[in-house]
Amino acid sequence: MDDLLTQVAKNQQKTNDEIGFLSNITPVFKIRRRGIRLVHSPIVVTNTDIGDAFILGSATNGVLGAHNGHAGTQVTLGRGKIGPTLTLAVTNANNTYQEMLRANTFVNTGATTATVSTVNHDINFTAGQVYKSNPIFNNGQTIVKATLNILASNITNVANLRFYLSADNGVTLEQVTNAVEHTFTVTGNKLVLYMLCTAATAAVDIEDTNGKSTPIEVSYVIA
Amino acid sequence: MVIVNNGVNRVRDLLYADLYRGKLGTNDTAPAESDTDLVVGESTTYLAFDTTSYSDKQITMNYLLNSALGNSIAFGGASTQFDITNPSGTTFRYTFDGTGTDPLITANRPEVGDSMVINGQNFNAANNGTFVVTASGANYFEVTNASGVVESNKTLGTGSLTMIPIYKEFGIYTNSASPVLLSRDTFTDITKDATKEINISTTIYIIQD
Repeated sequence: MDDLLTQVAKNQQKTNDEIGFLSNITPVFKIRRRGIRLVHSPIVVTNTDIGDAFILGSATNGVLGAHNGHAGTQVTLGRGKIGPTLTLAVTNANNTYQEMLRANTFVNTGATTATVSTVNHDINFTAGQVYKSNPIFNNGQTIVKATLNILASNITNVANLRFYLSADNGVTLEQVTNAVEHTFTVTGNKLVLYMLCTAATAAVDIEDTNGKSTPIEVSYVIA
Repeated sequence: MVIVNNGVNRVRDLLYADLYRGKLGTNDTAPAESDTDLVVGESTTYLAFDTTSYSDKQITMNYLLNSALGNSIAFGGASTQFDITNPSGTTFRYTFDGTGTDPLITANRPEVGDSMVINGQNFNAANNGTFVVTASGANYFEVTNASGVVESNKTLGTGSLTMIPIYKEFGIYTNSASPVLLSRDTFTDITKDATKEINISTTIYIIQD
């Protein structure tokens, strides 16, 4: 009894003898691979001043009814008298921000007039509408260059969209080209993304019909 | 092949159930995929997440270091003995001389910029106070103190030696039975004191490629 390889060799020889020459084209099977990956959104570090809230054992805030040496007013039980919260840092892995459009965390809702859907994971614009982000990087370091990357096939009516980046918290918007590194004229330490629809309609949809997500990416270089 | 949404969310559920704690550290070496822990983690900040939640293909975590925690990291104990020398000018070096509880001082702990609150019972009063660290290495740290006094074989006694840390890294851990670092991030100096609480929030997305 021949082993399997021998049988295959004999059969191949038979085929060659009966049909003619053997094709030298190696068949290639295309395998459609799908996978999942973890994307870590920026970490946002904030601090909150305890203000006039009562803290057991605190030298300044630990005595009920006494004047608070920290803020100069009476301490109060509970968090009602806690002070303001300040954002200290927003940082990203590999100096690359990825917008997944699954939450409004980094959408500047006060300035954005386009329709952001965290259900459909898209942004829809009509003429004159804008998308503006909150700072997507803010770590006290000077941003000198940045690159916006949106998959071309995820943009509808790209001719109607203008892209901007700002290194100074949106004060100076500098127009950029998708997928082209931009060197900031005005540097700063708070990176903001801005998009403007100049005519008719436009859209950015980061998820295709098969559920594949390609986030909006902004990579940056710090001094 | 299509990985369906329910399948992705099943992976999310497994990760969500495995989330354990967050921890702050004091080293800003750039994160690497080969990291297995924070470079200089502070055990007093190793805390369960204040809140966690999940929704479609995502998990959100909030870590809270309240005003009472992580402000003063203790070094050594009553028996810890120091020699205090004057290498140059107004620079004074505090060196653990090997006697007593090891305060575990290294070049990374404390680091330049951290503040040391020195309150040695048996130290000359001029050597006590709060000073910013100007240099550090194995078993020693240096500060600037125009009034410093050279002395040897002085224990902390009933006093203390603590550090007001400057936090620069944050880690997320999974697997409570055998903790594993899931991610490490770094940021610019965050000084913690008893008038502040620090909150760190982040989201992990589980997406299809």
